[in-house]
Amino acid sequence: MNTFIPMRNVLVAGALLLSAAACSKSSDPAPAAATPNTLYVRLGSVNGVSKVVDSFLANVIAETQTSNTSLKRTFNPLLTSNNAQRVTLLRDNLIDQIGQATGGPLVYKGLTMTAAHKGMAITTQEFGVFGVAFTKALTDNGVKDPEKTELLTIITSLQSQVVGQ
Amino acid sequence: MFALVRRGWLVGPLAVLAWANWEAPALHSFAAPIALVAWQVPHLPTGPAAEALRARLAAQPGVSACALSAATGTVSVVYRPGEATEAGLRQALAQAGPWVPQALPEAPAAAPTGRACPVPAGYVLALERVRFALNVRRFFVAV
Repeated sequence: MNTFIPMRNVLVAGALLLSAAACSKSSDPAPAAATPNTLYVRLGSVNGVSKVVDSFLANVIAETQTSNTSLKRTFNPLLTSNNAQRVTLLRDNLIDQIGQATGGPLVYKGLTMTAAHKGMAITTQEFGVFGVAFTKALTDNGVKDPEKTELLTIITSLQSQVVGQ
Repeated sequence: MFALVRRGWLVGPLAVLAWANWEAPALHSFAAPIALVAWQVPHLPTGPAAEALRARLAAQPGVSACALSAATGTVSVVYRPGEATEAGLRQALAQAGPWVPQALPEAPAAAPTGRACPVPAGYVLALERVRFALNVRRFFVAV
């Protein structure tokens, strides 16, 4: 009888793993390979997207070291001492969101833009400065004009969900 | 009873595996982890000289991104900790010209202005890494 227990354990384990995969949230579509001509692929897939996001973070950090920059108010809580891990969380969310918005294979699971910026009262000018820092990040990484325009159009479309929340 | 005890040990690992595999992995889990460093550097160049310095630092092994701001006198570098070190980057900057990187003045921690997650971000990131390591669904995604 005891000799059957390991096999039964294996079956239980297999069933649980299968059900974990099958019962995942309905909002969690099956991942698919990125289609070859998507903006995500043209940006260089995960490595390209993460390099753009890293450049953006470097730009923000360099620009927020004086008290009168427009990015200071919105990004300062992330950039004060001992908050490097919060910057990493911001990076993670940016990679996920840009990945999904550009046609990448995986889904962004973070907050909606409205929820993420609630109470921040971001102004149109601050959103514009964010756009400049992001555009510089694209330029620094050699992103070509068509891809740059396409991505900036996606980001601009989020303005109403970010500004004035 | 003995059989139940023997089977009981399986519940914990199975629960962890189910938790790790419940959702597809996130895209950022496939990106290399990074570290950030920023220095105050007096008399930074502007224009093409600044771009040349930025490109030189960005070309260092392990550097993911670099930015210079002459207006704020700041150099910031995003790098992959396994491939570059802060000391090495500091040395690379010093070798690029007459620039002496200094530590940024310590900024005071921001006072909380609203509700915030009580769990330190480091714990969240560590849990995420464990979940990704155990998530077999990552083998079925082409990123």
